[in-house]
Amino acid sequence: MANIEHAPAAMSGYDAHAGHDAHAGHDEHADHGKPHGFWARWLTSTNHKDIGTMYLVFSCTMFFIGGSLAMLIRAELFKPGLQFVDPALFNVLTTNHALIMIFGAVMPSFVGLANWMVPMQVGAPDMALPRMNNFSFWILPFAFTLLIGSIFVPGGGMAGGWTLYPPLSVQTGYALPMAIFAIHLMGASSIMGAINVIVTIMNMRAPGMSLIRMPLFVWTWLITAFLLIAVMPVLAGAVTMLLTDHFFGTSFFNAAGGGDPVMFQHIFWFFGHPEVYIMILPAFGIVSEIIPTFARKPLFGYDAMVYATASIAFLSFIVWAHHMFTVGLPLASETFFMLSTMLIAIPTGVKVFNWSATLYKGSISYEPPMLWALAFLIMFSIGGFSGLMLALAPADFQYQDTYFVVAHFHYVLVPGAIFGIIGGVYYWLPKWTGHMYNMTLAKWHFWLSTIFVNVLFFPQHFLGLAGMPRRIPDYSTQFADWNMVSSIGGFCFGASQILFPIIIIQCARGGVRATDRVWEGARGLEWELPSPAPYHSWTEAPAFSTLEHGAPMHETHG
Amino acid sequence: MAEAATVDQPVRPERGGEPEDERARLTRQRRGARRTTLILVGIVLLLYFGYILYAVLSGLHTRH
Repeated sequence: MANIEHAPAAMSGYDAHAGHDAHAGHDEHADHGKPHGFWARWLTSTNHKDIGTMYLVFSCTMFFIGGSLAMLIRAELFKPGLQFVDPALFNVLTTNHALIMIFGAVMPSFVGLANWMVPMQVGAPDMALPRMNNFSFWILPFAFTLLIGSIFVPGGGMAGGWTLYPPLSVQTGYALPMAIFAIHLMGASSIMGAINVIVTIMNMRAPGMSLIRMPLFVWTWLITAFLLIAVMPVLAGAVTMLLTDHFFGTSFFNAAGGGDPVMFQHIFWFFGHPEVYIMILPAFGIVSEIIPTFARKPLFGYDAMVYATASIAFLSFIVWAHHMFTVGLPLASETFFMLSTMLIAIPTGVKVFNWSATLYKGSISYEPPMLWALAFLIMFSIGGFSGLMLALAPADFQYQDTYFVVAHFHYVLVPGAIFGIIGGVYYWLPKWTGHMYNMTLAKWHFWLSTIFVNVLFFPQHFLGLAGMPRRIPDYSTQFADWNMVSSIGGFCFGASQILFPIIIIQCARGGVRATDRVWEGARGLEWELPSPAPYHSWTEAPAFSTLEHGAPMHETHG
Repeated sequence: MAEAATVDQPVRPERGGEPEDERARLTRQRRGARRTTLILVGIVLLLYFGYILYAVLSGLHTRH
């Protein structure tokens, strides 16, 4: 891109052209139409930006609660022997850490980002169903009060792992109905959010924005929303069957009554594997927005990226039994699920190569969003490679239920999904607040996180290959050294995350004013709006006469 | 003469400050949104309660 070569300020990545910021009175403009009073603003809000903010604050809170449980887990595993918790409580910690992180931190944060960005990116004034939007958010605090409350009831919390496998999970006491009701509520919330996203994208795009011109973040969210609608009812059905087995004398999963516990695993993973992609596809979208911006090149292979995303979503429905290779599947089934799983590497490889091709010969600058996106690219690929190893059925018999699996999915979810979310927040935060954040602090956040996430999770590959089982509070002394290293990495990674809310709060309170475009290479409708984005944006539809994906030709009236 | 007077007036949208084509677009948009919502809600209800009802009814039927 030629326009990067002319000004040193431009190489800094963010758009320093004062003349570009033609909205001197933004703050007053941005406040126009806001409800007065705390409760009116936040409790009854139907504004997509307010609801997006609430989702993000909620998910950040859950990230720290789930993270605290992780710190307890790593403290217990710091050295062999029982230190702080008994084995039963250890199982409660791992189960609730996973449930809180998946359903409370990762999923709501993507919904928050969708709330903020989808209407702004497609040129819509708000989400299509704003009251349902409010309802779907406010379900969540009740759901998580129930879930977290279930830890403290007599008999202890859910301890069968996030997969809730029977017969272990149905041996839980009062926590079982509480957790199942919480899961139903989370599912209802996710489904409502998904309906809202689909209706908004399908019906409220600016004139001229055809589906194949939408920004990648919008595309990935559209596909994710369809996945959510398809699989959340499956989870609801599965946990309802657990409930009736426990309280109403049914025998779906009770072998003594003619049921089959392995059937639960099939049903659960028919939900569970698409769920994995629900947690990563929006991150793909975010990275597909960030990399072209800071490489100052259009995304390489836009159409291929869209088809690859759709292919991954389709394949996610036919790979579920790779989680169950060791239960005694027929050989033909194992072969089918092994091969279908390996097929996913093709569209995922298309994505990784397209991101790399976008970087090739780009005028790259390394602002915090780009750093997180590049770390995502490298470390998600590491998680992908270990996923390929796990996909091999004969090899999986060795890896099954070891720390190798723990290392694999944490590489996909932490430097994958969570790095994608954090990168997205650093990318769009100046547009939300109207201020630039502290770049130095944000880079410290990045480097500390990246170093310590590897110290935390990479040794777990070694532990797994050496045979350390997962979900144990105590272990043989041969695993002591790497566990200590992993725990130190965990504590440092956890501590470094404290920088994140500090940077965000600082940025929301003030700082250097952000320009409208914020990043010099940014393209897309959201950057045509003033910074901070007005409370009501695109009240008149922008005329989207674009030649490139998500890059309007400035016929806007925000 | 009333006719001449209206000619001199600026064009005024009929309702809500929206020009005719913008109004038609918004009407189409609202209609499309309603249709998509109903279809999706139908699918969700079918899947959600279908799974649960099937599970509960078949399970209770074979209760030991």
